[in-house]
Amino acid sequence: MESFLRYWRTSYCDADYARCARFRMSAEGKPVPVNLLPSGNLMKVVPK
Amino acid sequence: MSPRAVVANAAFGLLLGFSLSHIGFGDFGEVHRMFTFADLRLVLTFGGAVALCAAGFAVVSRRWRFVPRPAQAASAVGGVVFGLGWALSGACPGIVLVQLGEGRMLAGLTLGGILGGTWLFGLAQRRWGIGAAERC
Amino acid sequence: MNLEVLNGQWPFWLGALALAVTAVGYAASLGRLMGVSGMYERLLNARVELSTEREERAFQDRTILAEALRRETLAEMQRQGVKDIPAEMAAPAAAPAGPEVAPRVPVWSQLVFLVAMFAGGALAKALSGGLAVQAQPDPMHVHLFGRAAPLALLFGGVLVGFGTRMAGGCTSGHGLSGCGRLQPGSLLATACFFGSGVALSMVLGRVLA
Repeated sequence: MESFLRYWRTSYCDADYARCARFRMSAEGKPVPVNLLPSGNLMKVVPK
Repeated sequence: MSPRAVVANAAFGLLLGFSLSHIGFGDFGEVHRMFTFADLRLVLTFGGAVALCAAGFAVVSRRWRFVPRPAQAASAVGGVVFGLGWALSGACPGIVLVQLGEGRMLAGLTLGGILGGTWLFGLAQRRWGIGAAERC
Repeated sequence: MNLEVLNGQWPFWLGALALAVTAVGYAASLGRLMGVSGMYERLLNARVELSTEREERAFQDRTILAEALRRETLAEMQRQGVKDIPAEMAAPAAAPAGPEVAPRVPVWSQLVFLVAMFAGGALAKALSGGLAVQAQPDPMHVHLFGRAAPLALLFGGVLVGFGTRMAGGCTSGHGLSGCGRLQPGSLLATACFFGSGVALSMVLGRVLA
């Protein structure tokens, strides 16, 4: 799981945090859903 | 809803409210004497609590990973604003509930102010882009 | 039973012990930090949190979380045009090692905590025989602010609400749970709120008293 997290961290947090959806939402003072990805997608449970 | 979380929250909330009341944190005069160093009892209470917490968390942190709190400008500015409010009203977000429980009706004004201030900060973030300490 | 404990004002060591037992005990039993202003915020935003409740509960299973994250990450890499995908990402993901992050406590249990704090204050007064409805402001508060005392409560409350949201914590979250873990942001915030409280109280004491 570390490698996935590292991918998001390097391509959003480190590269350009201003386009991270989580950052943008919190900067606007809105509550951030736990499953919101930096791309703006809501992460869903994979159907079996 | 997990019963364990409810029981723990009820028990520790009760303990915190009970303790704060007996410490005297609900009393404006006590808080004022703490801030003017006229009486060191509350200063020592808070300082002692931090020291004991440091010992306790050294153990608990081996079991659980907690959120880090990096130093930011908003931590400092927000802290200063909060301190001014505490000195004026004699209350912090937890103490105001204890004051109400103790029967101090005017603490309702403080609670109204706190909820208003929380809302106002959300507005300040959206309108003027004032940032909060570490989110996201 | 020692009635002194139920009646009088506690000596500093007993107060310190009680506060530390609360903060550390809460963290030890739930794996989550105790912070009152954070509870206010979660309750005010309960709607958003409840809308993702199903996912949050499912993701407490680390393998389900890892699988969902793997799928989303690979889809994102495809969108971004990343060509070579590292081999460790193609295989099913393993959960991380080390200390765990505990699941969040349900948002309604935070309301239980706040109501229990209220009850704790009432219980302390009731057991020491001093529970009575007081509509009068605190004598010291009147001494300082006179007829403006209610206004000072309201305006002070606004500053408390604004400041704690901005700093991301209050006396419990930063002061006890944060300083206890020696976190830089919490030590800074605590020094600032204590410092500004001291400064304003000193000025008020000189000018108004």
